[in-house]
Amino acid sequence: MDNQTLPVFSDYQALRRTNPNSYWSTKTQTEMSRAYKLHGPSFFDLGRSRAKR
Amino acid sequence: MNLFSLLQLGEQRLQSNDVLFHSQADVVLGILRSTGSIPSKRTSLNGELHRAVAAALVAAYDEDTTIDITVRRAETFHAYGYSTKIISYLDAAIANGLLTSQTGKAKGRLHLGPVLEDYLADTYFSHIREA
Repeated sequence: MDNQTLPVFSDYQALRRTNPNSYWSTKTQTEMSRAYKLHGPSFFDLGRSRAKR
Repeated sequence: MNLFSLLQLGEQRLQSNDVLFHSQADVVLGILRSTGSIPSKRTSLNGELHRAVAAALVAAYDEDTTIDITVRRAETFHAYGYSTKIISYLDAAIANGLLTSQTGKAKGRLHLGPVLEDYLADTYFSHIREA
């Protein structure tokens, strides 16, 4: 999986709203940390996710 | 506002039915875990502590105040009933740019950084739109 296909923060927040059990699992929380390491600061996509709405 | 006061205030707010506060604490905890400021492993064991730290940061945002840390000693944290891990979490949050500190570590007055400020504001406005 490359940086383009790895989820960003807004994807995980959408998961938190739709499937909180999955979001709060250790697996997902660890995956979020891995995604941040790969994306860097662009992981926090607030401006872009707002534009998508 | 003193860190211990913010931790107490955050815990009180977590016990309430304040949907916005819970949502903001969830988002902040997600940011803290994503950046590795708070570990994403052993979440079932330390989940409450992690959430308390996130809630204290949301409380600081709500009160429009700094997070004031005058002591880092383990005995003081234990006396107030808190884990000394909190200081290491805040040190890491500063290293990751989520909090700012003039000393470069969790001592003195800490300010929320732009990522936390922006997401807390966004969560607030999303909540208002949905209400």
